[in-house]
Amino acid sequence: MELNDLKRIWQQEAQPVGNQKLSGEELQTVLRHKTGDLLASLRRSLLFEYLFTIACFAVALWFVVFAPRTDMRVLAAFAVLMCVFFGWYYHNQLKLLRKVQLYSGDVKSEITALHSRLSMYLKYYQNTYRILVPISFMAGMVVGGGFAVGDTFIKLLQRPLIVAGLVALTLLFIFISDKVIAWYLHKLYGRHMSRLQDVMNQLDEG
Amino acid sequence: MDSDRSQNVFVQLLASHQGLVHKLCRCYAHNADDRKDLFQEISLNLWKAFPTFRGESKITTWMYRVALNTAISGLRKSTSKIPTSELAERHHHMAEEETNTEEQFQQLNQAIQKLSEVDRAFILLYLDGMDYEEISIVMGTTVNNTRVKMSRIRDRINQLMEH
Repeated sequence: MELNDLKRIWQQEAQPVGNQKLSGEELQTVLRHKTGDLLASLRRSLLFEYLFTIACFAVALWFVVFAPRTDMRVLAAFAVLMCVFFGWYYHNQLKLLRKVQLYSGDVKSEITALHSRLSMYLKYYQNTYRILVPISFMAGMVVGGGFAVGDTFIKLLQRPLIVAGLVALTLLFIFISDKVIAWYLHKLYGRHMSRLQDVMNQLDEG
Repeated sequence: MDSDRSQNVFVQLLASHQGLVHKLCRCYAHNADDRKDLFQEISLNLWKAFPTFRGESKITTWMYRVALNTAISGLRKSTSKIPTSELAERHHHMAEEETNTEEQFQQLNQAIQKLSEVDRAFILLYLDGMDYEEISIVMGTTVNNTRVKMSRIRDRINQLMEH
């Protein structure tokens, strides 16, 4: 059958959509719904984490200024530093994510742009975690160790074997967390990324 | 107030062209719930993109672009897919009770469902009356590329309809 025959069959027999048609009021209701878009839910949870970090920052800052003991103030200062790091990370992530959305361009350029923006976002996610995870881990060890054994900890840090052990532990932690993050990102976005790649390939086919 | 007026204009526009969105939902979603979700996502994306519509292209071209971008990108909630065998069985039962032309339509519909999402977009635009140039504008391909694709899709549909 030729394409025109297919069109004739389609146009003769395609079910009318009359019974599905929504009234103006129903359409207004549709527009009031929350989007089920994956990016929108990601944006919502990121925003929540960002706000939580800001709240933690405020609490930690209060402790830096008003805590009765010096060790508590030092610990709070570490927390402030971590909040600044994570706040910066969430801020940039949200900025990147705002760019990852569909516009009204043609299908090929929109899908290509979506794929590249999403790849950029995922790379940023993974690379930042590569930096933040070891920093958090080291900070946690130093602060935790300092609080657990006090001055002895500083003496322990002067022993090369202990330092080597801590470095090895950090490297192992980085290695495992890197694998976990890669797996997590693949689980969350792998299917979408390969789907977008597949669509791009199909559109490129002559 | 401006936003309310703008939303009213948009709703009127969507109301008069919603058939296009419903048809697309029928091609890209397999059950009533999926269709409802997809219709909602497309409507929300059309509303988000509405300020970018400057009337440079036909309203239907713009709507098709946003709707297909939403349906094809796969960024909405995961949809439940009907296994092809189940789909074939369902259409088989329907076809038994129907007349010849209706049967051809069911076969065509079934063949379209078996195409890739990209090919489905091309044929849907064609069946809806667009010429190759308009299809190229929506899909972002060259007219030649569109022509080649349409010829392949025709062959594939004929092959699927014969089986």
